[in-house]
Amino acid sequence: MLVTDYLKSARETISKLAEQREVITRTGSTIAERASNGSRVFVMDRSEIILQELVNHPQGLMLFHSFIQRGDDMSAGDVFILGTIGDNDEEDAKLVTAARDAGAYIVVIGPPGELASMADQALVNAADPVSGILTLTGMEQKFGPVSGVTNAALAWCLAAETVSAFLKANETPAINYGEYIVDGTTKYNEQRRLFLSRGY
Amino acid sequence: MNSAASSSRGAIERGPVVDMQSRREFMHMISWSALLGMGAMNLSCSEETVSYSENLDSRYLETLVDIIDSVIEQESDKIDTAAGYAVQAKLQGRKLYALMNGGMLPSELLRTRPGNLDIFLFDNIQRASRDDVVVTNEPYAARGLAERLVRVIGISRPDILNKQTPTGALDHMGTFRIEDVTDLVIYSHVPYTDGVVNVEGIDVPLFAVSGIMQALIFHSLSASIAEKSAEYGIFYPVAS
Repeated sequence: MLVTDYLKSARETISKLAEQREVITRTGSTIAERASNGSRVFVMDRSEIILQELVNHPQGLMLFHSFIQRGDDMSAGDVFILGTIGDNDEEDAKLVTAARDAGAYIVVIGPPGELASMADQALVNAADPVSGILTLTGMEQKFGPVSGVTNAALAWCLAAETVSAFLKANETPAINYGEYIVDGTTKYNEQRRLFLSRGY
Repeated sequence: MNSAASSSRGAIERGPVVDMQSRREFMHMISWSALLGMGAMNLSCSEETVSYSENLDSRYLETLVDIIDSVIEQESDKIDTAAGYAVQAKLQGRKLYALMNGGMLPSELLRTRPGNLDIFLFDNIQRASRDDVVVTNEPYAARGLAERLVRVIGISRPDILNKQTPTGALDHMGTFRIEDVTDLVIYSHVPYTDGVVNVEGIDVPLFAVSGIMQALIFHSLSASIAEKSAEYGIFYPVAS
């Protein structure tokens, strides 16, 4: 049945992300190094998938900024993480070009293609970006996308290796404690003060 | 206290309760509970260092895959049942509503998102009426629907009590549970912390899976509805 077909396919696609561990680790190290040197880390995703997963998410990191909300121009040395489910969107390409012109380090999380080739580091989502993975007799188009969940998994892997890099340098980045957990609000406030004092 | 202070770690003797001179002395005292792990924790606390943690990304992926396997094993039949309810409602001319909030969900489940089936009304679910079906992870928004004989299918989330929430973990959040307002709950098997990787020196598991798991469940439910509907010659448009 399609329930298990879909879940098993998604499982396999997500499992294969482990093949990119080297790239993820390298990218996480770069982010940690730059953040600890005062650079900012911006996240942009016009489909909002990795934006909502990385920025202000419980049990995530405070160092990820939403590019839209921030409103600031990027500076040389900043990190710009673009999430995309398309491979060559014109608007995304303009954003990457602007970020590059500002001297930012570009990370793209998305399918292989033009946008990935513009990045300093690409975390590649091999899922079909447009039409999903399921077919049904009587329907011409595929449906049941996995690109979004795969992008999200890549984003969290990147957060994980960023934390790993910080810990290796004997630092701990500020954690975005979920306020719904016991003492979450108190811990969130403590971490927020820490974050505001040093930027990560 | 002097006996505690002068004893070596792991050989602290019982003694009278005395005023603690310092946090270090207090930790030495309680580690006499004699579990080897307690002694190791005392060491890490007294040294006040954060240990390096490796392979966090692979631990995240492995845990995520395990959770997906749990859903496949334990929730597939319920997803199929829920799809059956939805199809029956449509055959009777009723409506299907959905309200899914949190993280990536509102964007990932948009009707216009490429690959998504146009099945549900992402409208105010309080507009649902008798024999309509509502799929939601927001049980507070679903209050009162059961009384109107709306069939409510819940998808569990970590920050709202459900029967899988460990006792006491979310006591401060009240007693309202998703089961209180739903006919059927599809459990996402996400721990109440949402984060799933224990990192040395950090007191909460990090790196969330709730958005991913709830999206997977919703997409698989949509797929099942499409599959069952096709048997009746009903086909849903796909966003491209």
